[in-house]
Amino acid sequence: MSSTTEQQIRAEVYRSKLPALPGDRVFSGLDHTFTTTAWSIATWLFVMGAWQGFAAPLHLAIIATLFGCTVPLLGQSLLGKYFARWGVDVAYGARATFGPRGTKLIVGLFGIIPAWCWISIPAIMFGKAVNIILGARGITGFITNEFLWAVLCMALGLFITYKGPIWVKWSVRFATPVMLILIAIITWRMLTEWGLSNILAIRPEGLNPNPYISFIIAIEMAIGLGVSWLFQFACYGRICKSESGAFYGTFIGWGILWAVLAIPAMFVALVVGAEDIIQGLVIIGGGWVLLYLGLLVIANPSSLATNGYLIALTLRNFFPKVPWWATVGVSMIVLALVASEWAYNQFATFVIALATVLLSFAAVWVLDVLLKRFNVDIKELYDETSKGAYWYYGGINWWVLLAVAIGATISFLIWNPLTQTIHIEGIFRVLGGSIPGAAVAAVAYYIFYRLFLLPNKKGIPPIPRA
Amino acid sequence: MSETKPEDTRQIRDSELQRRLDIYNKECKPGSDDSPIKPMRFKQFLPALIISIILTLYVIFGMLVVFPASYPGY
Repeated sequence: MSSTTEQQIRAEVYRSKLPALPGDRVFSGLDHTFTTTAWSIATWLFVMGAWQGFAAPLHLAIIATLFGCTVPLLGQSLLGKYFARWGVDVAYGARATFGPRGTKLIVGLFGIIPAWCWISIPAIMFGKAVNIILGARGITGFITNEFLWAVLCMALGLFITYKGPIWVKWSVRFATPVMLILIAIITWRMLTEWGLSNILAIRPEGLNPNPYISFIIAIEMAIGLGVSWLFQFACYGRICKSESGAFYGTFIGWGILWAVLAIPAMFVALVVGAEDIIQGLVIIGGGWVLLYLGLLVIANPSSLATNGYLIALTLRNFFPKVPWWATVGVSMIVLALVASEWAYNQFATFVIALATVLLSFAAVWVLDVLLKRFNVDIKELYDETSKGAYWYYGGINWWVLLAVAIGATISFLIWNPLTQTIHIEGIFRVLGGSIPGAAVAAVAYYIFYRLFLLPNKKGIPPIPRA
Repeated sequence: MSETKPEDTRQIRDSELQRRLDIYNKECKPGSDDSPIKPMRFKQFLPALIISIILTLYVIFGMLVVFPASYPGY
């Protein structure tokens, strides 16, 4: 094999459906944690933290965020272990549970489209931050245009995406430690300015007239965030050197660290009543806004790069004839969202609505993987014909969709996150809406699995061994 | 594969896919102790499980103790 061909193959492993062999595994557990942490640290982290601060006092907001962001990842991070074991992308690995057509439907609808909405937020907020900072310095004109800076931010992030995960790995080895230090400095400055006891004493208006309901809504928002990663465990997990590195990389970076790093945004929401951390730093004055801008210059493009890779890789596997540059570049579509600001203004509703559906999907998917003991027939994952072992019924595992529909319906019957109307307050006050829905979805799928899938060996082929 | 024959990316990808699928179980030994991709065992899962249990107790504590202390009367 020529070296040129070998290089092409290596590049294709990171850009296509090829399963990653041991020699292709370039991510240690630390690299994976750095990547997911860099993915977390962006404006979305601060916006989410601020919404928690609007919903509940500091101590309750921290409790809600730590629980909601971390505990859902306990099960979901097992998907990281699964993808590390098999080295395949979500477009193929998810077929064992959803079927080939089901994967395109579910991952496309609940993975790609929400990911596009997500990546519009750092770009929007980067543009806004630059605009505010330049305005505060008395600078005017085209150079302060928010859209211009949003485009630049997006382009820088997608350039790293285009270069692939090795570039991502080296970028985050620099970016993540720097960002952690900058956030620690900003947090320290806020605490010295405002005082922890003063912040703790603040009671926000809340997202509901009843402060307890507002606290539960904060938990629901955090759960929504915690399950928003559901279709994202494969893109870096598949190139991890160990299964535990894939597991803990996501559990720490997307879970615990997200919750902890969102705390300074809670300070700003409580003290200043603003959802953008920069508003608080403007009040503090001095050069702190410039420090924050420095943080955003690193944070938002690195988040766009890590998230953009997920989108590009999945799209390339759905549409193999499309070249890599096109699947990366198509994410510039979100510029339409950037221009309209729709995604940003709908942020909290978007996150909560996601929770009601995605937590049920997560429960069913993880249960299916556990029932199959992380085993798949890797050749069958690539068989898209009706003879394939994972074809189920017409290419879709309808039992998954039925179980999720039941779970999501239960969630909506308890409370409607779109209108924030609580229908069954007794349950909502104790368990929220998405957790009972997910539990019912899991039980329903287990029954379907035992009654219909297992006896007919649907999606359960014999597993070849080495 | 030829040394010099120009091959487009798709051809390379498809032929390489078959080769990898043929050798994956043999080379990766998925889930086994002698796999080069180190498998994760239950004891490695325990720290995350313990953290999650603590956080679940923490949120219950928040509901039953912290909230009533923060909002007396609710």
